[in-house]
Amino acid sequence: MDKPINIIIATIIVAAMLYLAYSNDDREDAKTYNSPKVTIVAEKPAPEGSSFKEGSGVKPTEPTEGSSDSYSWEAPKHWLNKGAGGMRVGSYEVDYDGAIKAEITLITLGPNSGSLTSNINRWRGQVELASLSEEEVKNSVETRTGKFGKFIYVKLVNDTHPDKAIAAAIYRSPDEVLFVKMTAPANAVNDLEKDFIAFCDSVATK
Amino acid sequence: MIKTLCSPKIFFYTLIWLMVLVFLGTLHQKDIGLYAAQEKYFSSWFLYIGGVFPLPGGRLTLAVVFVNLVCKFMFQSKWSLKRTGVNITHFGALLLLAGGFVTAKGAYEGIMLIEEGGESNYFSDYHEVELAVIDHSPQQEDQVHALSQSLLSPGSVQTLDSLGMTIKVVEFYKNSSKFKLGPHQISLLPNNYRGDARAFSVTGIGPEKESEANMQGLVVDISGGDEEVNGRYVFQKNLNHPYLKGQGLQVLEWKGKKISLSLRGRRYHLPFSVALDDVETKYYDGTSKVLSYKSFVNVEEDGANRARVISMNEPLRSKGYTLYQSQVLGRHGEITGLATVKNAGRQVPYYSSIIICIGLLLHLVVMFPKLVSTKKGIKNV
Repeated sequence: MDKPINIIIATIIVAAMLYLAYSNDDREDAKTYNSPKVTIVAEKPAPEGSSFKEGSGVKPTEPTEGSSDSYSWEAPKHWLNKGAGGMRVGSYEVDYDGAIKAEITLITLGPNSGSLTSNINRWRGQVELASLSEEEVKNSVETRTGKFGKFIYVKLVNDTHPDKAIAAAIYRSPDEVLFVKMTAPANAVNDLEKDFIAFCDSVATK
Repeated sequence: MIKTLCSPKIFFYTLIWLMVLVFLGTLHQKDIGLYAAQEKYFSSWFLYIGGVFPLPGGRLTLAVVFVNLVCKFMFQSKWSLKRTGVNITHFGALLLLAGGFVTAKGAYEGIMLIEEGGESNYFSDYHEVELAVIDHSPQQEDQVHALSQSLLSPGSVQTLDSLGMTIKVVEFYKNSSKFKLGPHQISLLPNNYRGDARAFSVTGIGPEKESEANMQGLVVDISGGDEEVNGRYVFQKNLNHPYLKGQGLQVLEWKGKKISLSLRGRRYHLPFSVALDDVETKYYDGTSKVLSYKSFVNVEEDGANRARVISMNEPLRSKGYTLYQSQVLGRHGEITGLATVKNAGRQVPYYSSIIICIGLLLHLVVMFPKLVSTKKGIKNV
C-alpha cells in the first residue's frame, strides 16, 4: 500500500516539474512581431582619420594647440576650450549630438596621488564597474607612447550603465601626475575615442 | 538496479561532491565573475579540469541526487507513525530539487529601461543577444523579425520568408572589439562588404568578468536581395539604452522596402506594459550615497490601468513576472531600470521549506518520547 502512494506522489512531482519547466517557457528562438515605429538614426561610416559621426553634430576639423605651465597638447578645433581653473590645467567640452556633451579635463596632482590600481578602481566605481586586483588592472590598461613618452590609457564602459563612460590617460613624471579624462555616455566615448587618443598622444612636457 | 539507485550512499557522496563544487565555485568566482562561475560549476553537466578531464558538474550531481531521492521515496519509504516526519521531509526535499530544475530550465531575466513619460512592454536579456531585422515599410508599426543567439552559431542559415532574405552566420563572438578600418584596409576590402563592414572590423576577445559587459559581435552573409545589398555585414551589440533609441541601426533598401538590422540584447515581451510617470531618488543627508529609488508607474493590463509604486523592497508582480527596482540612470535620474524576472518555480522553495520544517517538527514530536527515555537510560547507566 505504501509503495503505490509513494509512486503516485513522486510521479506527480516529476510531472509537475516537467510541466512547469517546459510549459512556461514562452521564449521563441525565431519570432516575428509588430512594434511601434522607431526613428532611424543610422550609424554611418565615419570619414577616414576622424571619429566624426554623421548626425552626431561633431565636425572634423584641424587640431588647435593648447598648453599649461608644464604641458602642451593639440586638441581638435571643434572641441570647445573651457580653460583652466582649480586643479584643472585645461578642459574641453565636445558637443556630441546637441543633447549629449563630452567633458575632457586635464588635472595635475602630486607624485603621491594614488597608485594606478586605486585610480583605475576609483574610475571603475564611477561607471559602476567592480574593482579589480592590481594584476587585473595592469592587464586592463594599455601602455601607449606619445609625445610625452609612455603613458597609461584606459577606456571604461559599462553596458548596463551606458549613460556614463570614461576614457582616460595617466602621465606620470617624477614631480607630478597628469590625468586626462573624457567623461560622456558610452556611445559618445566610443565615437570620440579616436580623437581623444590623438589628443592624448599629442600631450607633451614643455 | 533499483536497490542500487535507492542507496543512501549515493546521496552521501553526492552531497560531499556538492560541497566541493560550492567551495571551488566560490573561490573561482573571484577570478571569473559570478555568472561564469555559476555556469561553469553549477549550471553545467560536466566540469572539465584543464579543459579535458571531465568531472560531474552541479546539474549532473543534482540530477543524481534527485533520481536517488525519487527512487528511495518510491520504492523504500514506508508510511508509519515513526516514518511520517521523515517521509514528509523527504517529499519537501524532492519538491525543492524539482523547483530548482524548473528555475534552471524555465527562468529568465533582464532589464527594462524606461524614460520618464515613456512606456515599455519588454525587457532585454543581460547575457544573450538577438539579430533584429526590422521592416519599416508598414504604415502603422514596424515589423520585427528577431533571431535569438542560439540561431547565430557559425555556419547556421536562417531564412526570413516574408522578406525573401537568407542570413548565413559566418562568425559569432561572445565578446568582441570593434575597430575602425584605415584607408589601406578599406581599399583591400572585397566588393561585397556592406554597411558597417566597409568601415569597421569586429574581432573576438576574451570574456569580461561581468558577463553583462560582454559586447557580442556577429559577421553574416546576407543574400536574396538586390546585388547592391547582398553581401557581408558586421555587427557589434547595440547598447540597450533609451538615449540610443534608433541609433546603431544598419539601414538598407531591400526590394523597395526600408529595413534595418541590429544586434541587440534579446528582448522578451510582457503581457502588459509599464509607463513611467516619475522616478524618485533619495540620498543620505549631505552625501551622494543613494538611500532609495522609487518608480511611480502605470501598469496597463487587460485594458485596465492601475497606478503602482515600485521600490527597492516592493517589486511589481504580475502574470508570472516580477519587476524589481534595480537602478536609476540618466544625467538627471530620469530613467528607471527595472530588473525583470520570469520564474515559474519562484514559490516552490517557500513551499518546500515549509514542508521540510513540518516534516522535521513532526519527526521530533514523534521521536521525543524515545529521546527522553534514552536520556533517562543513559542517566541511569
